[in-house]
Amino acid sequence: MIALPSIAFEGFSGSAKGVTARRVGGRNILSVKAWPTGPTTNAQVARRTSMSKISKSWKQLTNEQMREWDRLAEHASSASVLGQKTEISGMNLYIRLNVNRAMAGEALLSTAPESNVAVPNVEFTQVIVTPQLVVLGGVRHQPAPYKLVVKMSASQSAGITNGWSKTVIISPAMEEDWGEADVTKLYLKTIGVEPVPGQKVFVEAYWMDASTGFAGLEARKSVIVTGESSYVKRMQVTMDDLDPAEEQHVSSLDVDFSTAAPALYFDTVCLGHSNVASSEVVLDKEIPADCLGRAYAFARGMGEDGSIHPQSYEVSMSNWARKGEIHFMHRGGKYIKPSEVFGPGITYNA
Amino acid sequence: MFNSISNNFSAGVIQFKDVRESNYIVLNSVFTFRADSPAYQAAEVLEITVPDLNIDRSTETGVIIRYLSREMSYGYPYVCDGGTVLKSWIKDKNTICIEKLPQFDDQEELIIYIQTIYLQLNQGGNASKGTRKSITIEQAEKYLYFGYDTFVVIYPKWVFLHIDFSSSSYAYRNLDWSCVFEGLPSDVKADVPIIGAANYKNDKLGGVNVCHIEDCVWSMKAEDRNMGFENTGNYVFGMAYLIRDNQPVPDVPGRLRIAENPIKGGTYVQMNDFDLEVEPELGSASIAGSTGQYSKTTVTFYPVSVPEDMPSFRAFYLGRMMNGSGLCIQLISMEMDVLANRKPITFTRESGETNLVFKMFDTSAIMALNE
Repeated sequence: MIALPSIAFEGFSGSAKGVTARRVGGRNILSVKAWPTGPTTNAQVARRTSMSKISKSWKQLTNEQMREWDRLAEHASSASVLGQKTEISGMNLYIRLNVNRAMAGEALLSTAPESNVAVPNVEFTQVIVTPQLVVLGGVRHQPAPYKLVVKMSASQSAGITNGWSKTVIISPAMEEDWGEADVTKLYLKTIGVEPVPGQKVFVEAYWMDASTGFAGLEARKSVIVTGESSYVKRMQVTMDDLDPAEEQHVSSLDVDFSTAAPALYFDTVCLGHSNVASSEVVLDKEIPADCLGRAYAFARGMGEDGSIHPQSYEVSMSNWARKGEIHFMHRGGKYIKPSEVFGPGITYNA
Repeated sequence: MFNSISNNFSAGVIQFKDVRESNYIVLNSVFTFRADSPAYQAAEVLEITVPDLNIDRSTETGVIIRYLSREMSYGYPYVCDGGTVLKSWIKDKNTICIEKLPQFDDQEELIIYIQTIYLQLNQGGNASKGTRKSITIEQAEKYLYFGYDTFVVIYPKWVFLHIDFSSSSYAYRNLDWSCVFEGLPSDVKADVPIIGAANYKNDKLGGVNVCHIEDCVWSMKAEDRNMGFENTGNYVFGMAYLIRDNQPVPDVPGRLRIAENPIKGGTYVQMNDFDLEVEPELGSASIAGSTGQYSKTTVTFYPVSVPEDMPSFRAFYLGRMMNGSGLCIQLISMEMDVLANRKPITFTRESGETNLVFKMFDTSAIMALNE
């Protein structure tokens, strides 16, 4: 980038033949026109479309609303928006915050937020990148309205030390899952190819306040992709673990063993079957030995007639023919189809 | 025990009994409030503000909501108390949330029973298992019948109780009931919701009454039982996590004790008859237990419950085993780290056999752990 003092270039702006000129802070700046280094992703297209719509909507604000955005911009350096301390105009702040909010699925914010409250920094203990797993582990929880934004690069040569310009947004706004941010599917969807073992991936993460659009400072880490990882995901059974070849009697399934407490956690909708007051699921994998046994949990009816009867359910976890089976068996209260079994389940050996 | 600071549904001060462990909390509380109060009517979620809890969020759990419906019909009481189970969770370390269902908006007075455990996920280990212990019903003249699923799982500071009521003798159907729950610890005292399928005035809700438990005696007054309570097909049950009044007292005042049989560290990793007593003022700790971990030189266990004042420390003990060569003595170091998640107790073989297969009855000086 070249800053030219010459009056010959005053008033000159725009791009021509690979050169871009613009006037910033009373100075004329010429720079080589930047071209994208890779193919445009769907996410980038969506983000640019969103940005274009938001930019146009600025003109629909009232004068008072614009003045409020200008006033907020005077107090908000863009460090809290993009991590780089520069001055920012009211319009640019309006666009940036609303683009952030749009990523989180929030509606357009016409009125400027009352103040710029500091957004916490992301803290995590590990980043695991293998071809099969891309996870931020040990993420320190932040309550709503904070959402986690993760940016990552495609695999780079292991010798590259600065690849931060190569990162793209992997997760626009996610809620970490009990300290774990598993972006494996999002990485593959955005980058298009699995991480390559032996190469380097650049990772950036920050919290975004979905209510205002303000973002915290980025936490950065570069990691070498490994072929395998010793990282063990928590023991949880969900709909993804059901055997498609078997008959299943639930419409949603979450059995989470990772409490390290005397009870596990259920969040399952049991549909029942035949004339039996129970629901069964068959998994495509075995249940680990230390998770086998029985549990008791509350359930509540979800009857089409509005029945919300409280119930008691006994749940058994077992293996049969190398497949895990979970049986949700009604034990008390009025049996309602369907019912949701939820909350803690005291566990004991069968 | 602690009191709430405030709430958003005009319930006044709410008192809680609590058992706090490193990654969960058991809470017991019963409170009443007006459903027709403007505050309750305006609330979307019931929020109770409390002093700092030990956990800053939890999964959803179940609490019971109940209303009373008492009338007279042809000169006889017509009881149809109703209710259901509500979702409750810890939103942050100062806020307990309870869902609000519109089905109760038309009631005058509501009662909520919090007798549950609030869990967290991804805590570095799977759920531990307790021991199911059947409750035996004792009566001088037998007229109450409970099913197989009447049992208790006992922990040092709390119990899980499941009641599976079957029936009463016909002659006793209109009398007050009581019986001894043999097997339930005597330090459990609570009013526990007892829930049936039938609710003759609102078939969308359960019939919810309350039984009283004190000094191992289970009782229910006739006037507090719903119409048809003892009918076949009412599938009456109760389920509660109840805090014990007499928290474990050390055998000798001042000593801190962890006694678990077994203490577990994984699927096949456990130590039987584990009994650790620490006397911080004297700087000593006694230990007993036996384990058999082959081809391991270090093994870690996670106690279910640790006294609040337990320090982190290291100590050295002698273990013994008999093998084909005769008596073998091992020097074993033990490290208790109360600052780490799940408060692990780690045994490491220092000399002797390269297995951790031993019985241990020993006392040793304890040393502070240096970070």
